Amino acid sequence: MNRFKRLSPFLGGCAAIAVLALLLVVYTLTKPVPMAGTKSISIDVEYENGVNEHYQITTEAQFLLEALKSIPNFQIEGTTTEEFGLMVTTINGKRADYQKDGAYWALLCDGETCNYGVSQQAIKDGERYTFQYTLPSEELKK
Amino acid sequence: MKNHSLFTTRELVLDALLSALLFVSQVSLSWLPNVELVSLLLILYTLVFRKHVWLILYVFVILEGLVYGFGLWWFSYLYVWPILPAAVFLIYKNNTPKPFGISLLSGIFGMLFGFFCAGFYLITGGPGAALTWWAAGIPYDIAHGTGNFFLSLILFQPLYRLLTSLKRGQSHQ
Repeated sequence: MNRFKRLSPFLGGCAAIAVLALLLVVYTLTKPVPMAGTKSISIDVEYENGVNEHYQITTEAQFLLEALKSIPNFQIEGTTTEEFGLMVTTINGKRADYQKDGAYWALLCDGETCNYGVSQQAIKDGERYTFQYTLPSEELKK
Repeated sequence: MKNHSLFTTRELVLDALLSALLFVSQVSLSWLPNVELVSLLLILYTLVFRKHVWLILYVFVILEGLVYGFGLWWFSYLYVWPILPAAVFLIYKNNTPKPFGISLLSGIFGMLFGFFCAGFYLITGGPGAALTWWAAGIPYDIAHGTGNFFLSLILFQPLYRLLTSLKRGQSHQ
């Protein structure tokens, strides 16, 4: 027992190092890898009233937000956090007010929910990105 | 007449004060990303005030929801923060707390905070969403753990002495 007590700071230190190593491995394996070069992508915006807008662009940008900012007349706004980047609230003047009715802008990559937010989503050639105005009731239907 | 209540009025007032202190510490350091005193205070409260930590903790969690809104993150707080007092109860059942050991515990908890919170996203969004959410926050989890480690290393001993002497004074009244 005394031996265990003497060893416990060492074991605790080893546990801390093991956790740190695990975090670094997971982070390295899962971080988004941007693609270099020119990419052709399409962007759709699906509004609440059923109106859709379509954009087709060619870009050198590596992440979706950079590509969106290069589109004339495309406006995207939101709140930025260091951890997750831009949290989109408004697209082309249409605001999704989560506090009011739970509405938000869902981001889809080729029809599936993207794994990252707009700032961290690495873009791929030929991929289709969709911003979908989503209400909680519609989310349940999916 | 025998008092059958779980806590005395004096204890309840003290618990309310400690919850307020926990909340104020969180708000006052919220401008520093992932640097917080909540972990250290929870460890101290568990060591000094034992079972009272549960009441203090859940008052704090409710206050967080009332001030910042009951978002998805709030539901994860219901089970993530209690992990720390539970670990302290388990590890320090018979052991005397030492600053280095407490700092390690606090540091590991900080590093795993995102992982624990991701458990809620596992239920609501599936494994992919939970993994992505966790992985995106890993640099901040590492900063959280590092901050917790050093804050505990510096502040544990003086705060532990202060709280134990306050507890002793309270029980002598």
